[in-house]
Amino acid sequence: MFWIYTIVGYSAAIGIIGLYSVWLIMRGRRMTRKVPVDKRRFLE
Amino acid sequence: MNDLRTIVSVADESEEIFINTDNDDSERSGPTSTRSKSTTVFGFLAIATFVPLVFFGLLVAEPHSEQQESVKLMFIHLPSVLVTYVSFFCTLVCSILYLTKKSKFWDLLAGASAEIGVLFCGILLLSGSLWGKPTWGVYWQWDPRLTSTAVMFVMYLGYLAVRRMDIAAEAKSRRAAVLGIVSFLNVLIVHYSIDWWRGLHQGRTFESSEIKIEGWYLFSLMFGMLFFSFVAIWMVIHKFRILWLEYQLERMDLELAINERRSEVNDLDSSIDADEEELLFGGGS
Repeated sequence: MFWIYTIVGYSAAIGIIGLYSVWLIMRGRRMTRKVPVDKRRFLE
Repeated sequence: MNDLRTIVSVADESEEIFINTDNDDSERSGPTSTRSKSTTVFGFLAIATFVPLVFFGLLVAEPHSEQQESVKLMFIHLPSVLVTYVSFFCTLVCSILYLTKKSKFWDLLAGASAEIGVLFCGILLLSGSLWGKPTWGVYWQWDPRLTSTAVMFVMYLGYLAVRRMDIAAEAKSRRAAVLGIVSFLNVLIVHYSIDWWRGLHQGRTFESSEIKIEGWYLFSLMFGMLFFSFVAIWMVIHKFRILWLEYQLERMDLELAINERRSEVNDLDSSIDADEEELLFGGGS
């Protein structure tokens, strides 16, 4: 029965990392669109 | 553009991965996401280390004689400890640098690393709790190490809350920096809690003199360390860029408000001038 805890732990960790990564990508795209092109360039 | 120059002026080679962009379409319309060459590399490295972590960690590594399958939770628990410590240490260093140099770059980097630290601290608490149930018989015990880790989690949540306060940007950054420095004291308490107080939590896996783990366990753990490290770096870069864009929007809103106020004042001045002229030279009647 010990494997259940392992599977739940791995699934939760990967799920949290995955969901947060997707949120970061989506949030990044949304924020980039909001900022004008001239201020979007990170190093100029 | 002054704020942009302030950030860029402090950027040296080590900072370029956070603010330089290599998007293909940047020449035409500017970047359309927070992606860059560095995030692509770290993202690829994360995926490349994730596969062997799952393969060796879950399939190849044999169950422990006492802990059985639950020992495999250590391959995600220990790396999350490492990433949490490093992230909060990064917040400490960036907070000190912000207070000394007053550069927004360090403030944003401190905020980005703190958020990633909190995320991995959550994973650390969750994986530890799931390991504790089959091993100790309980999900949670008010052990010094566990309690201090929970306090650390809450303290850094408070740090993130301070960063979202609706006050002047500079005051907010200064308060967050002070809290970022003070909160790190708790990280030291977490680390040394197993030496200072007797509790249920086991000793360190990696002592300075010896490593208490070997074979496939050590091999899988190394992949876990690499995977979590690459993911954390990838996340910090993205988060930093998002915070930077949010800062740009804040500045734009502020500039807009100032310009509106100036135009109001100019309109008022011109109407006063017109009134004065009317008084001096008569109403034309």
